[in-house]
Amino acid sequence: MRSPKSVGLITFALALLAATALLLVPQELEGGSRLPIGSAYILLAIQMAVLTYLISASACGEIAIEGEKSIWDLAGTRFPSRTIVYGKITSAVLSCAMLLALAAPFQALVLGVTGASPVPFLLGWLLTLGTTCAAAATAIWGMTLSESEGVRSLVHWAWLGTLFMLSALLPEPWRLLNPFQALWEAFEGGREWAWTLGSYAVLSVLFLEWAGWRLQRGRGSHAHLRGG
Amino acid sequence: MPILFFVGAVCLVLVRPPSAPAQSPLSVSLRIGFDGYVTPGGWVPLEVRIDPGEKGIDGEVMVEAWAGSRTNPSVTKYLWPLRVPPGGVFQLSHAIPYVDARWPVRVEVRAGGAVVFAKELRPRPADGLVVVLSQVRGGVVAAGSPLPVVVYAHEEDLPVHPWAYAGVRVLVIHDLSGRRLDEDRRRALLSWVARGGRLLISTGEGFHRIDREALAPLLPAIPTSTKQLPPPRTLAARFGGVFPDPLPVAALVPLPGSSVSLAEGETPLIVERPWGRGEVVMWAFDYLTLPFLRWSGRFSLWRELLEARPRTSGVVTPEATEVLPSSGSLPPGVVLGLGLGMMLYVTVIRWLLRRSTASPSWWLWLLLTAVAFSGGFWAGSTAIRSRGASLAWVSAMEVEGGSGVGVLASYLRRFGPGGGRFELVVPRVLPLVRALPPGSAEVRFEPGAVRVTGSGSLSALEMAGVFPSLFDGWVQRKEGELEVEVVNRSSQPLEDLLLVFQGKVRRLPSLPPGESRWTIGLGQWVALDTAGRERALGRTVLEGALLQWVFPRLPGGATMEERDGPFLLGWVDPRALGVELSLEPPPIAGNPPERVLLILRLQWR
Repeated sequence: MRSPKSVGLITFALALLAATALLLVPQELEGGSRLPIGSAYILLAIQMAVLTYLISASACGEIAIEGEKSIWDLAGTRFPSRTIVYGKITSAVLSCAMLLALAAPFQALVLGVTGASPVPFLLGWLLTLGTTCAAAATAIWGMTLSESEGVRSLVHWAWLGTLFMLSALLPEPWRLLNPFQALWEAFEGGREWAWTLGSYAVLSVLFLEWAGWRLQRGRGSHAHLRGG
Repeated sequence: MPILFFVGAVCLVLVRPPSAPAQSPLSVSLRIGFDGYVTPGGWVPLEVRIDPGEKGIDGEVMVEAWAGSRTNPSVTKYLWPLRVPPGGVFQLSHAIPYVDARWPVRVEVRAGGAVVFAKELRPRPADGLVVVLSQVRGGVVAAGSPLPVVVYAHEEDLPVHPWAYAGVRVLVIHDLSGRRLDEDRRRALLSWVARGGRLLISTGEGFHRIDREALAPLLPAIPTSTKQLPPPRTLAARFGGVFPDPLPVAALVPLPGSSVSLAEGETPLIVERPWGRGEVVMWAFDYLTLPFLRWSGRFSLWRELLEARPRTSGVVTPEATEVLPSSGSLPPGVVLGLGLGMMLYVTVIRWLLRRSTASPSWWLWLLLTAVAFSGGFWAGSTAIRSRGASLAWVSAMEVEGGSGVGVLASYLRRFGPGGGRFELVVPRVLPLVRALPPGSAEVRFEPGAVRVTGSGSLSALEMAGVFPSLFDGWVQRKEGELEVEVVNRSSQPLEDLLLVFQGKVRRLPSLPPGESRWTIGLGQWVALDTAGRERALGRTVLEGALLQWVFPRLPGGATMEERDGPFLLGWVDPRALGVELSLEPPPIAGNPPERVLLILRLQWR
């Protein structure tokens, strides 16, 4: 946590969110219901995108944090493959929760100024955790595909693009798989966001199980190579 | 046998469950619009008559008017107390907004904590209406484009508020009993015509069936006697067809300000007069007489009369609320303070991260710091929002010169810091209250007060009423000059006067009570946009904002033929008009309407 790179990344993320929150404070406090929802939504959407990138990039090793071992380093230990994979995702989700807690003051500011309801904020946090989890699970799976950094980056960015952009092009009701769309539904008072969250949970488990299986297979081939 | 008895009893109960005790017979009669027809987009008349029978009733009447989208509807709920003694009858005449034809109007009668009557009214939409006051349902030809719907009505069916005439293209008077036309309806009728309504009075040999006293200020002519006119050639020449028989007509004596638009020799057949922005037409003949009904040219005559004509609406409309500021801007110092607070927070977090340990106490410190800053930011931002709370309230009175009646419209925009409910007691002179989308409100009519309860952080209300005007004005053009004559019957002077004519404006001196005359050269005016840039248009920000809103909406033509101005604008203390404009509780902050903007459309002489 105290590594300069980690501190720098967290500081950068917080500064970005602080600047966003400050820009979103309306110059006039009028504006009806649209502006408070708009401000809060924009802040949470940006926060979701920033955190998802940071966490998934850390999980796949694109952002290398000093002292953090990659999945293949851990494959050489005696930990079972599933433990390694689920440990990685737990670490990612906890990091996301910590960043959400650290960004809470900015949301409190927007909440106070605009008078928006806190419920969509809490739902936004939940959706951010779900999105981050799905992105990190895919990133971990991508790491098990190859030790090549190029493949990892490709999988990482392809998945982020699919999650945030391509899913927005899907027809209804599949468009709800888009995290921004789900966030908007949460702000509009709908309950469809629960489907999105459920889909992300299923997707995460599938990718993690797949990653565990691949890691197990990879361990065998590595052992064979080591043995050879 | 006992088993059979119980099984039988259970079956009986299941098949025919015991019903609620019979209620006393409640007879409810509802009328919306004109014979059920409305033109969506404005206020429509609503009549409720409740006969509770011998037991009387103690409850309330609720009417819900909806507008806006399905996902975010705006609802104005009206509540009237319903206390009728045994043998009595409840009668309600009001106007409600009917903006969107997709929504029904819901009427409920509640008594003893239960809904004893409920009905959804779905008025029939029409592109325009021709309302006919006549004992005979027939004779009027629906013509014109778009085709209006002709409805027949009695005096009691006329609205009590001029706004409820929305969509009425022409009011045709064939029979009129002054006894059945109460003062509220008469004043509403006069005000509607003054604001652009069109009235046709069909006289003929039975002209006595029209109570002239009730329409005295409007009449273009006085029918004095009757006579048989040989088949009138002028009518046939102008509208086609041939008159087969002589036509019985009333001998009309035109009044000053009227013009004879069609005459047969010395006999006026059609006399017209402008009244405010409206128009009154008097026919010397009865459209129900046999010779007229046998004349084929009558279709063209009706078509010319009923053709939709562009009508200027009032100057001040609900959109005025959109330009009113409802809260002050955030001071730059506040924004700077927020930025510095955020920088401090990020710095503290960075400092803590650099000293991170795996100990629980470090995590606790990190969490406490985030919680403390969250609380601080929330408290600070809430305080900023509270200080931004405000209530913007502007009022304008529009008077058509020569009409003697004025309409007062108030627009209120409330911005509340914490959202939630708010309650106001609106002035009694403004009985027409509605929430403007997307807000909602509950309007409760109590003896001596109209209470409005709204919710949400931002609400806008429209409040309107009609009352006799204490101001009047005329204008005459003479050799490059305007002669303006204004009568101020109030007890106080009219201040900050502006005369607006043909898109230009000129300041005038204060107008003391009594009659004042000015002769103004036409070369000493400034353009409206130049005047709009001047700061001293109003004493407060809201007064300035209202004037800025009104200026571009004043018709720029203002020729004598168009009867659209000139306008005299000024500020008047409502108490001088005998009007008490105050809200209870007083506004949170902002500007209560200590002054009302008078928009007096001067009448051309």
